[in-house]
Order: sequence, then C-alpha cells, then structure tokens
Amino acid sequence: MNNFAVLDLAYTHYDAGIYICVKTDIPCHLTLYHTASPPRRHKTSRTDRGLTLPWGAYFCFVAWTAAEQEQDGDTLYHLFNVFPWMVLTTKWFTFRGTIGGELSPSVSAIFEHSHPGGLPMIVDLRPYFPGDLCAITREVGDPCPDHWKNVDDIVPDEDDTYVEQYYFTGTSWAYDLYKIETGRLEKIDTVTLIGRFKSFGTRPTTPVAALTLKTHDTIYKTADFAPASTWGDEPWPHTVNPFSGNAWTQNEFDTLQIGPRLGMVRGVGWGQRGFCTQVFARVQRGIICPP
Amino acid sequence: MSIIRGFRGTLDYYVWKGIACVRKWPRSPGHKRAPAVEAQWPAFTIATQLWVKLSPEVQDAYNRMAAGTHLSGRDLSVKCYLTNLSIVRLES
Repeated sequence: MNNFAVLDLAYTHYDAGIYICVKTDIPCHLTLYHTASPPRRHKTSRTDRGLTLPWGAYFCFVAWTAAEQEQDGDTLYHLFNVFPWMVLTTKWFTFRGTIGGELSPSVSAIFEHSHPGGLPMIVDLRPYFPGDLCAITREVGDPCPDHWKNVDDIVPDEDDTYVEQYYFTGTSWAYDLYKIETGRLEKIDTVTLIGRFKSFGTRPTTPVAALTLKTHDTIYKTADFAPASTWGDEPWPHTVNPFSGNAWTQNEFDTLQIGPRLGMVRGVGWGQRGFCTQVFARVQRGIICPP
Repeated sequence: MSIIRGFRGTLDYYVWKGIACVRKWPRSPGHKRAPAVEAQWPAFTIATQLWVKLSPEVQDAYNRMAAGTHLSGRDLSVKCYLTNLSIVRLES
C-alpha cells in the first residue's frame, strides 16, 4: 500500500509567515500546495441506469505555490515554513506525498487558515510598566516608580538614562522589578534576560550587579558579578521556568517581572558601584507540533 | 422479447442515451470479486478506520469540502486516501 492520511496539524504564527507541522499515519514525504485564491469547486455527476445523479466534487487549485517539507526522507511529522503569509490574509492548502520515493495516490483535505498575526520567532520584550519594587537609589532619567523608562531602550542609550546604586555610607544592595511587554508567544523555547551594566570605582573586580526575575511570586537572581567599566551585556538564559522546572507557559511569561540588582560596595579606602542602562527579555519561540 | 422472457425475477427498465433498456436486477456478487477489487480491501479498511483518528480540524476540512454534495466528509476522506489525486487538481 502506498497511501497516507493527514491526522492532525498545528500552526505557529510569526510576523512573516506560519510554520505548519503535520502528523501523518505513516512515514511519508509531503509537499504542501498553498494558494491565496479560493479553490474552485466543480460538482460531478454519475449516470446510474440511465439516470444522471449528482455525485461528488473536485477542486481546482490555481496560482498555487509548492513547499516541500523541511525534513529529509519519509517522516511521521512534517514541518513547513509558509512565507510570506501576510497577517490577516487567508490561504488554502493541501498535501500530496511520496512514500519510499513513489508518488502516493492519496491527497489530504483542503485546509483553510487565516493568519491572526504573530511575533517574530526571536523577539525582544522590554519593560513597559513599574513592577513590584523600585528600590535602586539613584538614576539619570525618570525617578521611581518610573525607573523602567531609563532601561527600556531599543538601542541602548548608555549614559543618557540609567539606574545606579549609591548610598552615602557602607555597603548597600537594591533591586528594581519591571513588568515587560508580552504577546501571543504560543510556545516558548528559551527566555534570556539581558541586562547592560557597567561599574565605577576603585576596585573593579568587586561584584556590584546581578539580574533578577520574579515568577510565581518568587524572586530569583544571578550570582553577583563585576561588570566592566564600560557598558556591556550580561545574558541570563532560561530554557525552563525556574519555579516549575518546566517549559515556560504563556501565563508565566505574562506575569513575569525582571530587573537589575545593583550594589554599592565599600571597604576601607575603596568603593565600587553598579549601573544599568538597559534590561529586556529575549524570547526564542518554539514550533508547535500535534501531539 | 425472447431475450426479456429469458430473464427471471425482478427486471430493471431504464433509458440509456435515449435507448430503452431492460436488465436483471443487480445482485451483489458476494465475496468473490475481481483480484483488483480485492487488492483494495485492506486499504479501504484502513481508510474507513482512519476517520476516528483524524483531529476535529481535519474532519471539519473534509466536511466543508463535502458540503453541497451527496458525499459525507467521511466518504470524501476515504476517496482522498484511496485513489484520488483528481479530487484536488493543481492548475497552473
């Protein structure tokens, strides 16, 4: 036998197109045919003992484009990257395939799908609102509770706006938390917090900065580190939510708060303090496949 | 008339391309079928069993295709599985 059936499919929407992941009943190699023109339906009839009866229909795909599955050989799961697919437009598509290199007589149903919009597959999401804490003591720019405005740069503005930890005496640490933008992420592979820090003082090797996040009402932070005297990025990747130990969910990301933790550390005759000019979450989205 | 008298049982009268015709009422040939037909049986069995394994979205797609025809979505899924690249025709 040389037949296949499409059992299920799943969509991952991004700004320029859609990933379509298809599951079939047996391993095969599929090609997806898609068109922005509605397929034309032609009714067929059959003559039964002299009587012509309506029977079925066939469908004509016009102005179609073919996309071969991304995997090599015959597979159970088949991934297609259909682009460009403009947001809010509809496409119709169907699948044909080969099994062991031989064309199968099977064809799938005709599917119709509209692109509802989506974020890029790698997207940077930035602070947009105060979070639960605004405790860092100094800033160049907006004061608390609007410290987030000093670190929400798309292109880092370096010394134009930033937050800084400073206190007149002794050693002190403080942190801010900010709410960050979100969107329809569908499946999240990795969340990487990135902060842009520098330090100033007479003992540059002293740790005076860290990154923090709050999820499930719990605050996590990186080990304290010593930024250079010039601005530099510090990434903190998370393939799973640190509270649950499982992949990030949309709800977890929607309620995530992030921020810098900065220190002013003093010793006898020396001092060092930390600055932060930018913080954001870089999300690597995943591709959804049927179970 | 002698030919018609030779038929037994129920007769089927019909017109084909303007010609009046009569034949014996068709009977099922039972399980003795042509080898080519028998070769289709395993695939047909699988095709009919696959319907319940299809996701609701795939079933909906077949049902939409079958709307307005004398076929059900399930009928169409069997046809698409078994034979018919000609159901969906790619025109340039």
